[in-house]
Amino acid sequence: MSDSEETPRLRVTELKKSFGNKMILHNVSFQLSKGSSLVIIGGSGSGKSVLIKCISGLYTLDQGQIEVNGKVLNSPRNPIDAMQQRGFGFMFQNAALFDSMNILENVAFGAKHALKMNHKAARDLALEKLSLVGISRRMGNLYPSDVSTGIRKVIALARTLAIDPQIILFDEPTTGLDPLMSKKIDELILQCIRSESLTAVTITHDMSSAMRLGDKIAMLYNGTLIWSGKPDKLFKTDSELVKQFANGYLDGPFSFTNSL
Amino acid sequence: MNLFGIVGRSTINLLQVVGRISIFTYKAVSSCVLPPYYLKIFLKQIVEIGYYSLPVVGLTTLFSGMVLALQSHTGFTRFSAEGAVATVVALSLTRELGPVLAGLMVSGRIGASIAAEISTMRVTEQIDALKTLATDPFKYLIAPRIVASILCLPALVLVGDLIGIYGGYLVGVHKLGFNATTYLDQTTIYLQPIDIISGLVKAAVFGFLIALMGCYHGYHSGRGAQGVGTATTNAVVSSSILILITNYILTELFFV
Ligand SMILES: Nc1ncnc2c1ncn2[C@@H]1O[C@H](COP(=O)(O)OP(=O)(O)O)[C@@H](O)[C@H]1O
Ligand SMILES: [Mg+2]
Repeated sequence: MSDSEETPRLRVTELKKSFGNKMILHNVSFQLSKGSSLVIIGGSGSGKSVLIKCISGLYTLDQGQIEVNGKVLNSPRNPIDAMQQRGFGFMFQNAALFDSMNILENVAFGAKHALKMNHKAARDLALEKLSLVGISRRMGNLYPSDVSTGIRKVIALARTLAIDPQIILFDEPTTGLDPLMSKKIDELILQCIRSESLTAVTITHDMSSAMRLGDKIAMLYNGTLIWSGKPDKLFKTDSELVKQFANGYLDGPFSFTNSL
Repeated sequence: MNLFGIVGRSTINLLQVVGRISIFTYKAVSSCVLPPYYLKIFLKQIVEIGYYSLPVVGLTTLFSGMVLALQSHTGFTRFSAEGAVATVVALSLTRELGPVLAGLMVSGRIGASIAAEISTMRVTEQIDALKTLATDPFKYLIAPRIVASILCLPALVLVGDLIGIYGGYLVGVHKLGFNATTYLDQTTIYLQPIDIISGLVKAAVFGFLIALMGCYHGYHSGRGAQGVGTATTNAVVSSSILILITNYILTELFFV
């Protein structure tokens, strides 16, 4: 019954973010305990990527507060300090691998620069993480452009794991992949979350992926989380908006033009 | 038409751009000075900017030296001052043509490629990825390019000066019938250290401008493939214009 069991690993309070006079997020709050996985669903352009970029420190917040393990993260001016202080891992929508480096160097990059490991230690760690996600040693010498989109995302996962984060943010990990590859990536993500009891925030509009990954699902609409609950409640909700989005009905209150 | 509105708006826009470039320059310069330093990336840029630009710069200055000799000979024979050809070739190359031509050529080659590379990294979120791996893009991407460019341009110009003077010598001796020793004597006799040094200082400044504009337009590029194209064009155009303007200012500072 120690206090630390009750402090959430990640708490986001009343987060606001605009670009110019275009309000993207106007009030987002949630909290997550250690080892849990939240999936945030929402339409394209609803501000999902902006949300996790704000959480990670890539974007500064206009207002609101982010706490990790009960400690408030102020918004330092320098994004690098922000990243180091937070210890977040981030997997980008299009993998964002460095195309001037081979796969092994990509995965070793974080170990070298964020964890300040020497060349050999970083390389060994990278090989370990690559084998964890099922990429063979031989593939390490290929370049990102030599492999498929799905494999690039798997490598991006390994690169993120290599900086040993407590919290990982996934930006549409399965979007644009075939159903099998999607399932494979979801499996890997779940396996990593469980084996290292990581806390994960995943954003996606892929409903089957959302159902697989989330302990809890929330829906972002009009700049705020309009619904959250367990996955099995998603299809039984009273909210017309959520029901429409989850089932993919065209008729309903959901606005397709994001005129926010 | 509201004239005040238009003037006001464009003034504000201009000030905004100037402000953004100033902040960017400040951040870029401080990243060049403060650690961490990425030596491997820096050396790679030295090869890219210095070594691979040699053929372009060499050819440009060679033919410029040749045409200078030819043209000044035509002019000077009209008032029997053929003896000044070698001097004019040497002075024009070291003071003006060497740095300006090398600057413009390297701007097209390196400014464009820096802008394209960095804006592609921006569009594909690789710059954000650097940050999430605790690496400052200013130190990792921008500083090595700026420092390498500042160092490489004077070296290129020095080589270019020699090649250009050699071009003038070729035309002078083999086409215009100068005596080889006389031509060389006339090349060196009036040439002063300041002529060469001012050219090298200009080159260093141009190197800074080229890399700075490439990085700035790449870093602040719009999204999508169009953003990459615009960034590349803007980088080359802005650095070329800045080179010509600062060239005038520096000449005035050095020689007036
Ligand atoms: N850096 C930015 N500057 C201005 N507008 C942005 C920026 N990033 C995102 N936006 C805008 O924010 C909105 C939400 O974008 P995003 O979070 O990427 O949507 P998605 O939910 O599909 O991930 C979009 O309208 C987008 O144009
Ligand atoms: Mg997105």
